[in-house]
Amino acid sequence: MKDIFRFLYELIIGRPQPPMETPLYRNDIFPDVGGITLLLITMGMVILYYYLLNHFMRTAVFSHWYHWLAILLINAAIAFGYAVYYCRINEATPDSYIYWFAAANALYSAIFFLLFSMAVKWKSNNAAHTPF
Amino acid sequence: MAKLFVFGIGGTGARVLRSFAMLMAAGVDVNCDKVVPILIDPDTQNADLNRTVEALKSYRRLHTAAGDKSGFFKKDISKLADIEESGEGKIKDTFTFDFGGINQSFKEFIHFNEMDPDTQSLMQLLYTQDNLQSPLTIGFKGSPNVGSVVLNKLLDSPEIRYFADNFRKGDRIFIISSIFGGTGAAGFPLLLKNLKNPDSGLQNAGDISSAIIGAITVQPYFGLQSDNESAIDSNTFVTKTRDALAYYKNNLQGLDTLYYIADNPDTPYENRPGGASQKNNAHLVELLSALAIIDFMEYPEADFAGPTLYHEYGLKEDAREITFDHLYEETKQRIGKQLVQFKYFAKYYKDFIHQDKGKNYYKALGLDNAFANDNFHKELRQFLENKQWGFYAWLHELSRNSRRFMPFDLNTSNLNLLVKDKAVSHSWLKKGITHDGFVVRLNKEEKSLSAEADQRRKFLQMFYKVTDDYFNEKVPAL
Repeated sequence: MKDIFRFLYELIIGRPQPPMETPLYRNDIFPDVGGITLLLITMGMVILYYYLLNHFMRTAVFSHWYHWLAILLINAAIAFGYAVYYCRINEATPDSYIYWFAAANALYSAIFFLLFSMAVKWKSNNAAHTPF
Repeated sequence: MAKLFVFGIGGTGARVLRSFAMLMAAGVDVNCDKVVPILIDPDTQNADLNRTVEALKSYRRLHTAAGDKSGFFKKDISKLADIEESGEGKIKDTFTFDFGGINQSFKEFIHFNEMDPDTQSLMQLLYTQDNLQSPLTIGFKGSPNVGSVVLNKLLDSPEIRYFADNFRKGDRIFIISSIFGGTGAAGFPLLLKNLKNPDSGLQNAGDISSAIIGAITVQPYFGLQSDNESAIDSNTFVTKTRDALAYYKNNLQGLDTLYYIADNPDTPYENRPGGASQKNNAHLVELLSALAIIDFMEYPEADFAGPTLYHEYGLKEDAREITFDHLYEETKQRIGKQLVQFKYFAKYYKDFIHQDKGKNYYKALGLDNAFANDNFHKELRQFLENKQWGFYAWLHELSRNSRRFMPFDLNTSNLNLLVKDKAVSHSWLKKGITHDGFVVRLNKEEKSLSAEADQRRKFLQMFYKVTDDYFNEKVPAL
């Protein structure tokens, strides 16, 4: 799992900066932030959208594509914020790399949101065809 | 089960069949495999006749797409030409009886000028000058003595032969006519006499003459404005009815059951003797007359073993404005639920469905594309919204006539208030029947009907199920 997250992030933003913090990012920040935001929180938001808002609440008012997009953007914002927050509490050097990492995390959270949506939407009563 | 042949004679016959088509569209059940309406009216331009024909044609196209398990439009209503099992020759592919365009006066029809003087004198005794000069293209203008001669042509027609060729043991016949006009009053006893004649020379004459035959004879229920130019005077309706009843008493042989219905005329209609201008608003009496067809099919064969059964219709309460509360339980049981369901469906289809773009069921059924390109939806919209003969037009006409039948609030946009005097209970926490609630239920039904491959049938089944659930769960008992 560590290698997967390392591959994903470094594919976009390159090796951690400054170089001396490479172990911190690779061993702690990448897997923790990726695991929590990309897997747990994103999956939680997808379930919130498809099964809480569009299944158990017995209303169809949130089933439009733009509602789905709004949740995706909120999820991306959380991913961005959590990445910055996690770098800071781990006392990573405060330079621009942190923000590039947060932006990459937000982008991946959107991609994961889309993938999870495709996987779970079918059983949703009111949003089985959202976003398409 | 067998076929039911329904002969609708004259303007009243046509109007009753229009109401019957609306009841069938709503999913009211009639106990037979197939209904075959045959409209008999020489006045081919009659607007009432043409409105009924359009409604029946539209119904037929929708039934073909919907099948017999869609809830709405489920009963097979066929044209005579569609039922070919045997028989020779072709008949016109229409619901109407083809008189071949009787483009002549009654005088020409009976070859008056070729008669000897004594016969001419007799004819002048039996028929007024107006009768003799009257063009047959607009019917018999309330003159059954004219109709009884012209309609004798019926038995020799290809339609009647075709009907006889395809009549099978167990099939039933129902005849709708008015007793106070021309075409119906003349056509009913004539048709019955010929059907009951085992030596008529028709194919299967034995089976036809022994078939169970029911009829409704509609007594006066509307008046006409006085018009010196018109051949029809509604002041004679009661006299004509009395005379015809006296004739029926002794001459209706072999009828298994006869239904009577009438009403006190209130606001008179415009006096239009026939043609395209004869377009009377739908009336409660016609709707209740259509119920006679359904009632007739409920009786098992054994019940007709004795003498003729007679039925009359009565309202639970005499009122000028009729809602479901004024109907007896039996009537409500028979049509109440189906009409409410169909009204909800029609309302949603007309006013709400286009707001559902992006909703699950809407996308799953590809409704954007279907509304633009699928003839089924074009036809459905016609059936519901056509201003001349559609379901909404029919409801509006019923609600404007006198007596008024207005079981629905036709102006409200609140789905909780659709059924008059039966408001669905709702509050801040309990929403009753809402647009959003409809969408949620339609989404659910769309998923649960995943086995139905035909999108049109699925569409109707979804709405039938949702309106059925709403009726059972939310609408107060009728």
